[in-house]
Amino acid sequence: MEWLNTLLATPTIGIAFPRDQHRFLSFPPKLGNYLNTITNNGMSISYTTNNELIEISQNNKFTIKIMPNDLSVGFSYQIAAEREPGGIPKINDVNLRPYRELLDETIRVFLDIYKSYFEGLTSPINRLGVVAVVTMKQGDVPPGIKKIIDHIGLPWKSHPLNYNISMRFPLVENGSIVETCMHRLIGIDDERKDFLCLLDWQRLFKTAKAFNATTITAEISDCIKASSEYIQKFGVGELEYFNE
Amino acid sequence: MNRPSYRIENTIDEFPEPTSVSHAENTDIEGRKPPYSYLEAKKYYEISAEQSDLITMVRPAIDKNNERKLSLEELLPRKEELYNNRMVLVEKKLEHTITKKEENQLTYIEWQLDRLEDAISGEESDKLDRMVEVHTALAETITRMVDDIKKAKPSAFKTRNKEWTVSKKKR
Repeated sequence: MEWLNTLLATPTIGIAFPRDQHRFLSFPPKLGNYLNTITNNGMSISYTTNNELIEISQNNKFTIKIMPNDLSVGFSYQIAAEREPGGIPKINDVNLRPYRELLDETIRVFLDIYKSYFEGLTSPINRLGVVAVVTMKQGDVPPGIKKIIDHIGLPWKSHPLNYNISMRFPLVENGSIVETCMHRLIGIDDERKDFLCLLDWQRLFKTAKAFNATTITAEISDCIKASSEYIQKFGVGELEYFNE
Repeated sequence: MNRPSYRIENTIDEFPEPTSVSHAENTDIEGRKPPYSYLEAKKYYEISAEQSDLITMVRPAIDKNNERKLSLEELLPRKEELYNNRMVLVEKKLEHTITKKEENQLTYIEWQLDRLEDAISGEESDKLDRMVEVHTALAETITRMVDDIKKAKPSAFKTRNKEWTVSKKKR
């Protein structure tokens, strides 16, 4: 995932588990403890509770979403608009940070909320996912993605003029584990236009596997390792092509 | 409320969306929404971020200069290493002993070096680009003006003559 470090890329981490209404409905009263620890660390928070969704925003950077069957934490850049009397608001520049730093922070926030939500108890998990969303100018597309686009254009002997591709492939099937990756590529054949790449890497457990606070940490780092390897391979262009 | 698991920034809307893509994509043949248990999920593999139905976050626009700053921070300390690796691989390529994997690596290193070069001098070359654009536009305007001048027939004498006749009639 080294190539993500120089681009506008943001991570999201999430897990899916068997639907548990009891845990979900009994969480809001305990939410206060979690929010207290965050605010004690000097972070600003805002949260909304909906029918089946609790959404917490930390410092306007991390969005935590809790549902009866899943939990996810995503990072987004904070865009601050300054109000100017008599004028239109001024939007400040965003200082981009390398993806690996953002990912580390996201993991930390995820583990905090995980511990708080499952209260240190073991919990069965169906799926663990790491999502990377990258945007760049079409001219900056890494060689691996370029290769895929070229490969798709082979039957027409040209580049697609514009494309919106979404494809999921199984990567590894190993006993009780299946690893898949959803790729979404959107772009136009023009160097100055924007290009979006979404990589949604997932590890699925055929039968829900039980985890606790310590084993989930190990599992997440294992998933990050596996997904990073795949994303790097995808970006560099080390997947195999029959026409080579 | 059935929602897919990892909702991401709704950036997709900002990008060109072919007309064929619709929400119908998210339902199966019988018009059901994608299922959420693992067994069903395996059948459909549809539960994913793409089905984002809420605008939750905003994504900053791609600012080349911000991106350049990031690239510079990331790649400048590795400049020597990148150049050295490239040299080794280029030599191998010239000797025809390069493997497919190494060739991919070479393309990737060259991509990184391109990004580094862009980070160092991209802003300036963008300015030059803009200057070229402005000058080209100016040159076009001048050419058009010169052409117009050349095409124009001298009608001043005619007008004066007319005026003279009119005034003569008046008299």
